Amino acid sequence: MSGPTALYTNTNNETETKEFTVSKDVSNLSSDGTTTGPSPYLLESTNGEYIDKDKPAPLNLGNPMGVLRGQVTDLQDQINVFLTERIQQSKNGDVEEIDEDEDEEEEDNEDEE
Amino acid sequence: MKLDFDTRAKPGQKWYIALGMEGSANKIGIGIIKQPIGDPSNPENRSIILSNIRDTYNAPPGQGFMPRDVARHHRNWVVRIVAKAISEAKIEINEINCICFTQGPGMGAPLQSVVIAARTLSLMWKIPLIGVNHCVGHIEMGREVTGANNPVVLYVSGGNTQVIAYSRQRYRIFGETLDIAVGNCLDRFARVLKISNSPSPGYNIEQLAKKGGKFIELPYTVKGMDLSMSGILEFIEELTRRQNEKIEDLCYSLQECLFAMLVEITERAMAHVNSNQVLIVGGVGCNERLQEMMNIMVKDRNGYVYATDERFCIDNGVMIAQAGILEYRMGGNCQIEDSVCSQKFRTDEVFVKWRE
Repeated sequence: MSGPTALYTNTNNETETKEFTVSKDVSNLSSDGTTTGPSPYLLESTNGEYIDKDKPAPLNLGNPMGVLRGQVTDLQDQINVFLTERIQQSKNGDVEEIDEDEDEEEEDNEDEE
Repeated sequence: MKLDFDTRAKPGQKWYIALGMEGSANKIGIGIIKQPIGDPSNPENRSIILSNIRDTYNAPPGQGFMPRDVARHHRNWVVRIVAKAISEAKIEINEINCICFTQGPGMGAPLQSVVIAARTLSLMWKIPLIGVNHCVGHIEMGREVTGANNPVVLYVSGGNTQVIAYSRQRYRIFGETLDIAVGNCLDRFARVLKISNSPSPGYNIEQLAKKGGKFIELPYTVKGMDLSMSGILEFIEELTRRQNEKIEDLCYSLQECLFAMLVEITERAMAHVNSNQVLIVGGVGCNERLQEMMNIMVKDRNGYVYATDERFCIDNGVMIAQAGILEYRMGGNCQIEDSVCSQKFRTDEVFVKWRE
């Protein structure tokens, strides 16, 4: 069975896409993602002394649902990193900002014409 | 009008079983109930609670809970809590008739976490989904546990403050806060005092208030049937910063002032609908001083106050199962595409099919 995938498409420029896939090697999978921990605010406000009581339960790689859970965590991490970078680039003006409201307005105007 | 509660009953069926999932704020609760066929308003047909499991996300002292961290808490605990609830209920999954979830109102990210879990279980187990209004869940659970027939409802929690009465298949809002909820006012004052958020900030304020006795006058801001609490909070925060008053007296005075306002608008709603029953629901409803003050007013009207303990006052999954099972029995069914949750979902938007 192939693993889960995700596809990002820029709604302003549909040729700009990025596909996210997971590795076939399941041995490195984890339920504790690199981007899904406590918020930076929580960690900073407690001076690094925050005790995380809400960690996800460990993976059970012995069944398909356990593997899928690890793969989705991996996929989520990849997407979070990608989107965070894009937001940062958008703030720096390196990429075109996505403003869906503006697009809708433009479409509305076209309809009226 | 005669209501038929059993149009979905299969031949030989004796019970309905519902699994309720709540996660609109910092608590995730999963509850399982079973209800016999027949009119649920009949005392012999009361719901039986099979399990009621809850876990609370507590922020560090001096902080409120951030939606992202609460959502993470719910995501990471939901499977374990569902498994525990099913195990404690001693039922098989194929016995469950419906999966009920909080559709709103509440905090967006935590609501979303639980909705996704509910959809997943519904698809995996092929069990119908039922979306439930959180406030209606509190009301129906309060009515079920206390046996109150047609009370004026005071719904007081960290996110909501409403006085509600039933009329023509809607829970109508007679009065409500114009700004922050009463529980939010208490929680934010607890943050100023930097007292623990465990088990809850409101409980810790209540304990401090018991040691106070000097009443410090605070603004009293009832506006018609509504009330406002943000100014009171600002006022008492300023008093705290000046450090001229004992913390215990400030807690006592804040409770007395807020609860007197709540009692006043509740009494006015009772007079309006000619009722002598009050049902207090929501997390602040656990406060013994609020119950005591309400009792004094209601006694003068030869009435009754109905309140529940922390198992049912504080957000829980059973209340979602209770309101959901009534909706299910009246033919309700929430398609996946209609299961979007919303931070805004007013109590009076719900058409109460299960009451005459």
